[in-house]
Amino acid sequence: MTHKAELNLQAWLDGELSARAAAEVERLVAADPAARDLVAELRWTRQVLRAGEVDRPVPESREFYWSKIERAIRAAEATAPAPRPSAWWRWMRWVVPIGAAAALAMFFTLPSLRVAPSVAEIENHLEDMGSFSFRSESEGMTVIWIASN
Amino acid sequence: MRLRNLPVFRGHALAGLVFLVALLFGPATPARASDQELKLRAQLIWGTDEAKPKDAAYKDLEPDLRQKLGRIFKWKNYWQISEQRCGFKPGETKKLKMSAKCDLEVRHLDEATIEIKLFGEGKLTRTVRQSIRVLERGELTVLAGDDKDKHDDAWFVVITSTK
Repeated sequence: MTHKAELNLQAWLDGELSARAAAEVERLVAADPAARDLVAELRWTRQVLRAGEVDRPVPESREFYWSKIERAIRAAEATAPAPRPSAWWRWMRWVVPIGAAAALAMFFTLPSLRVAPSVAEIENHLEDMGSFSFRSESEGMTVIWIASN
Repeated sequence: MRLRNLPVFRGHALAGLVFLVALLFGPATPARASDQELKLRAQLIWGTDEAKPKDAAYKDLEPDLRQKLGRIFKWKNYWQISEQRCGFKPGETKKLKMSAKCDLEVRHLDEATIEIKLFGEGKLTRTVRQSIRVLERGELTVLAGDDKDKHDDAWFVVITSTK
């Protein structure tokens, strides 16, 4: 049996041949005992490999280990339902903005809530008399000094 | 759970802060009644390095005011020439004669402002508008100038709020 015939037998067992080539190989197997023995050996070898091959896992790197955890957390977050706020929090969601609006309204309507300007407004009625003003924060004093020219 | 993720803080952080600030400080500053009378004290003061004339009826200043003026101005002595105390209802205007040459016209403009007009020898010299709240928290408004006749000396009109 030639080497080509052996390869054809292997391809026939793997289902890789056309119908015409497969018929030729079937004729060869029926006529040639050596071909039959080879087919039996190949079938046995394939069976042994399928059933008895040892599973050799690839060792995990540190990065891959943590990436698996991260993916698991993301998947859990994506599927977990959003926590429903408690009744107290739902109530506060309305109270806080309403209270803030009320505080702002009080601030703009009640002069006592606003910081009074400490600098006095001054009008000069005599041009020949200059003046300047200053404020002493430490003494709590606003001074308008009028200088006669 | 992070604090900012709580429902109450979502989009309302600033509003909540304003609310808390108003809650804490709002009641501490009660509103001034719009019809409340404003009580003022006006003092005409002479500042000099000289001793008090023997025949003068000038009064010594209270120590607190004398020290305040002394820390700001250069003069050694401060004597009170005259003093006026008046109450002002909103919208009310009163004239205060401080001396033969110095007059004030004080007007309670609104609940937040007073207007002080200073007249020197009958001429309107300055108009000052001051916050009532500034006066009511104990601050002084001082109109002052050097003496036209005696340049080493100075005059002061001190406006304060009296309770």
